[in-house]
Amino acid sequence: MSQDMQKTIEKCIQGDAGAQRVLYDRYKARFYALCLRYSSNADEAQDILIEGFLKVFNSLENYRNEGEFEGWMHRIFVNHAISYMHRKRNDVLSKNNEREIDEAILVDRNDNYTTDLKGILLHYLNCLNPKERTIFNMVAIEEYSIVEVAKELNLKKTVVKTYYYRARARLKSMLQKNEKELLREYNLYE
Amino acid sequence: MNVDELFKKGLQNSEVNPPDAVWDKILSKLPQGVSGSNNLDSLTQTLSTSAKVAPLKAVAKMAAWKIVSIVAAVVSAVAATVVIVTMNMDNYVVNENLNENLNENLNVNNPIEETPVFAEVDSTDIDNFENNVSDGNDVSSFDEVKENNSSNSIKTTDTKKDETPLSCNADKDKKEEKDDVTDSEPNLDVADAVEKEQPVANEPLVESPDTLIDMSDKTQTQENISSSSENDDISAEDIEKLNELMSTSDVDIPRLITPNNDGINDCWIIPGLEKYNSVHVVIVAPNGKKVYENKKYDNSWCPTDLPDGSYFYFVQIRDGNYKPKQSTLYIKNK
Repeated sequence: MSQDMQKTIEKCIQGDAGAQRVLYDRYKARFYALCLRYSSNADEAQDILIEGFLKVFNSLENYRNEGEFEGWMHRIFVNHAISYMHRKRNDVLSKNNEREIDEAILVDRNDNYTTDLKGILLHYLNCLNPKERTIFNMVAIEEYSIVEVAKELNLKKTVVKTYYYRARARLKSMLQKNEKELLREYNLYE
Repeated sequence: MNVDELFKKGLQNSEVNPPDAVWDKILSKLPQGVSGSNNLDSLTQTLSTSAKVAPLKAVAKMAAWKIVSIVAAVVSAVAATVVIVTMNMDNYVVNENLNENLNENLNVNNPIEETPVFAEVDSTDIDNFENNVSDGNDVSSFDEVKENNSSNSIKTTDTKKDETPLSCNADKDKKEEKDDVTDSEPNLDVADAVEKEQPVANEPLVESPDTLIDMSDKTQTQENISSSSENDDISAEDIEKLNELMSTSDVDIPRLITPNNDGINDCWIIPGLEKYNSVHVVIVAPNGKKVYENKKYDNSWCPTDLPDGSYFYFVQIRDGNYKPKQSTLYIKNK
């Protein structure tokens, strides 16, 4: 880790608002993208981002310079996203029928991040249900092993696998529907 | 096309700038000037000790001033005698008189010096002291700090509340426990599994997460059958029982699809389908006409030209000894 970063972290521990801002500016884009992947809409993603950064600032003291700082933050964010979705799963929204959720997603579709390929992929990811999404995120994108995910989510290995395959099948079917469009625009499937 | 790779390539290192309002929200929830609860504690400690010490110090200061003034008076008196002695060497009488006067003065002064200073401070100088104090910055700034501190502590408790809402989550926790129970259910104990799965299946639709997990447990047992090398503890008898269980229990087949091209529920997707090699699927319209048939269904049926209504489906998993399943499927083009 660079010395600059070390100094910034020390200042953050002392409560220097400027240093906190520097830290936030440096990592906000990366971790907002992560939050968007784990949530089903932008509002949730922002919630996770806010709470995640608060967690980071409050536990900076416990960071012991072991391993990469970014990796440490990454772990905090993933863990927080999981616990957030866990909380969310039992909320009012998730108890309504699926159609209302679908409509909520449709509203969000007008967000500006749906214009490019990443936006489209992200949108498909957001359409999955939270458990499938979390597991697909961890396995496919974060490259956790099935065993690690099972341990993290306190599920059985086979359950994780099932959710993962299901998520993949759903994403595939969604992609296939727009395959021609994507093929034309992004030349993806050679 | 590999879905994993596509998503990994597209999203792994992507960056999206959050709206500016996010930082304001973070800032408003951050305890300012101190970063952790430990620091807050130490700050309150120092504050409380200084609060105890400050008045004592002031009293001591006042006492010191008193003593200094008395000493100064004595010194000035002595100096006066010396001056007078040197000025009027001739006038012994006067000097003696003066000396007597001075001695009287000293005699008067000395008891004052010996009297307990604190008593005097208490009675007369307290007002003074208070005035001083209220004029000075010490105490007022101390109050400010104290106020800041208390507001900070309130803030931190607020954020804590946000993070762990305990009061309203009693039923939620219960549900999670229930999930865990179904998750950690040993799949070897078939009799237990039957007993447990029956009531879950009878529960209302609201409990869909549970039934989902339940379903995944079943597929999991199926996986154990297909790859028995993974779990050597399962005997042939158990496998037979599991087969029976699988063939009679419900597979979670969706009852509603909305083929309106919005990417949601457009296709008829049977979860866990990829576990089986060949699944025979037939869809029949209300008028008895066959609208779709596939002997190796791969979740690819996305009807676009069918009117709304109830259709009948027929699903047979041909891999094992499963009973065919038939029921109705509702199609709604939004």
